[in-house]
Amino acid sequence: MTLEDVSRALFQHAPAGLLAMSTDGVIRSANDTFCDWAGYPHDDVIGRYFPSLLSRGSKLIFSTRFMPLLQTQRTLNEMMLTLSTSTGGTRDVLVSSVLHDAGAEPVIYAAVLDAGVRLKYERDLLDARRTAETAVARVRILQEAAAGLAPATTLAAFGRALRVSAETATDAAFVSVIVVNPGGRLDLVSGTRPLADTVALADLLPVQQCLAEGRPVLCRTAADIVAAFPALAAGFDLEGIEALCIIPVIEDGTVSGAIACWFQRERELDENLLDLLAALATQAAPVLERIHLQRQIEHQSLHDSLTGLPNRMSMQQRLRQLLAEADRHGGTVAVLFLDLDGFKAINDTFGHEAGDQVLQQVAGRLAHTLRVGDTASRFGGDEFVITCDGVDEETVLEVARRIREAVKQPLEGLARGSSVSASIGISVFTPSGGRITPEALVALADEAMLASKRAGKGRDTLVVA
Amino acid sequence: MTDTAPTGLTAPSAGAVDVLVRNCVTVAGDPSLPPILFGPGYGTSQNMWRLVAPQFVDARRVVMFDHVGSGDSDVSAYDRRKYDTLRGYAADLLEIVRSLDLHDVVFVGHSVSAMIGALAAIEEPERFAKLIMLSPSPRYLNDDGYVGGFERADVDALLDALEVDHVSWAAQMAPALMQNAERPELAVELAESMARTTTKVAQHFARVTFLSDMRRYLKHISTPTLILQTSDDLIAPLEVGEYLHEHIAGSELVVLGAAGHYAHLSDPAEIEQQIRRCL
Repeated sequence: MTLEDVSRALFQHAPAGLLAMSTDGVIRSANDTFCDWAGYPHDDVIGRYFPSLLSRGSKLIFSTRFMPLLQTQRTLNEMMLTLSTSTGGTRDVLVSSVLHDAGAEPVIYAAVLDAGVRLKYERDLLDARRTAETAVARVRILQEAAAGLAPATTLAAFGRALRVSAETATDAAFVSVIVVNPGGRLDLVSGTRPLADTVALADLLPVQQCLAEGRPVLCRTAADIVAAFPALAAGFDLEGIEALCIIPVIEDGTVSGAIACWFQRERELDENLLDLLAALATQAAPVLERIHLQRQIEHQSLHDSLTGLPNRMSMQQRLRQLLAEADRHGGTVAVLFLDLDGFKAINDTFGHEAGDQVLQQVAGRLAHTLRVGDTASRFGGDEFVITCDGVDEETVLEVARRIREAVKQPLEGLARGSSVSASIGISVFTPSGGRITPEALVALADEAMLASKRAGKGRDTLVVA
Repeated sequence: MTDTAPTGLTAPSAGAVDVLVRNCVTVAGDPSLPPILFGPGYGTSQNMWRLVAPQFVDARRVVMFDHVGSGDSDVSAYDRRKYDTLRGYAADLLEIVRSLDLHDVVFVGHSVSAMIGALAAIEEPERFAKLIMLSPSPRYLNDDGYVGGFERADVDALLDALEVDHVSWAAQMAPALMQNAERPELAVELAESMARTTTKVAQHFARVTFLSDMRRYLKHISTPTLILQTSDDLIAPLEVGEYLHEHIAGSELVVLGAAGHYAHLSDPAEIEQQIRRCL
């Protein structure tokens, strides 16, 4: 054999497929080994588009990785591809190539190595690593959620911690954290939500359904949304929402909130992701309950348990706030000190329970009589304090008159048919009168009330501070 | 579905950033000339337009850019929530157009950039004079009665390949980083971490590109559109070109003599000639 014969034989029978192709991937030359692996006669291979011999996945890799990388780097080592053979089988190969553009027409040279066993091993490694990474990412997200939720004492802080974790977990365009308040009202405590300008939170059907059923609500594609929520589909479409998932937050069998994730492309929402979101919701549930309890305790410390009205401490806070505002912006603040006439007699005649009912009824009447912004509070015993701001003497006297009118109506309950009346003392603060403390303003009204009592009960006395 | 165009491309986390640096924007030609913008396809950079774009410098203000996470863009600006949808990329494109105050834009988008350009033109049609889509696809996956060319498993194969690649990227990067490093073992770690970031971004962009469905947006395109398909494009088969032509009102479809997904490299003259026809 001549050297030329040996060289030709080496090219044809080398234990690697050898190829030359144009820069758009058309095969110009190929050796026997390659034709053999591909399963086509030599003449069928020449002129063929190289990626047409690849599996569909490898076509994608060839077009989006192989070609651009080769164009930028000029050499490419061991890219993992899968040949699709004439008999319908596959062969995993590693392809190394160079872009040779010294001549008139640039050429790509490629060496194709059989790598079935090695690639299987690589894929197993890949799977193992991916599983490990998913687990690590999951633990990290849950740890961060725990760190954010533990110190949360407000719904806003709770919502923020939960939202940030859900955003990290899902990459969702929008995440909303929704809380069901003890009264049943829904609050968006963190994040933004779609249809904010057109649909009330309580009417946002996917959220409503999740809260009502206590089960996740999932739409993976725009078509899913159309099928499940036809009335809202156009609105979601307008905001680019193509997928959504709403996960309930459940504590002791009661749905107390939801994590809503809104996506601007269709999403697979696989088991891993849904498990992670469910784990976040499980972490969130007791925290939410704790915050609700804290708020309840806070409410109790500022409210009178018998009448539900703000208590003395709460009234003083409110009054301090009103006085500070009046000081800053000018304006008046009035305090009405109300003492019931005839209450002791009812207590003595019908008992304490009847007395309690009277206080409750009076509290209810006060609440209905006052203007928006006025606050009635129970001061103690049968004494109530009402605070008003931005009033002149005429208005405050009118408020007092309406209160006396409401209070003296016949009573219901155990003391049915009896009635009480109100002696009221009013103190009005105007900024021109200098500064005054809440306690002093209340004391003035208290004195004025005593003046009303002395003057014959069921009347008003007004003093200006 | 609705017939009103989608609104609100503005991404959740837009801060005061220099978009021209973030997207590695390069501008050539006289600023008084009408602009032509070139958008790169998935996994590529503006470099892929090197044989075509310079041909227009005489008659146009030529603008090129890289998508965030690709090319020489600022990878630290990669916000997974923003870029979990092509709308995030479209918002960037509009920011570029606004910050250069471009009007009458001829936008030439390769591959995924064609759809990104379409989203931007839907949002602000008054800025765009023409959309030229090279090898576009509104959806890569097959669906009932629709041939996109691929199945979900094929996209998974691509994601795997990106992951395997990362090992060799790290190996390639490490020596360069080690050269001047006082503690070479840290350079290896750094290379690994850089390769990791690059891989994560490339995989995410691949998911967003190949798993998105842009078909429902096509009816909102009002900008005159030229669709350039190549005869042998495995990424965007001919059926896809026909589908686009059918669903984009008033569009023109041209099947090129060039083959493959990178006609701007394999047959730049034909691409140049097609673009010139529109100017």
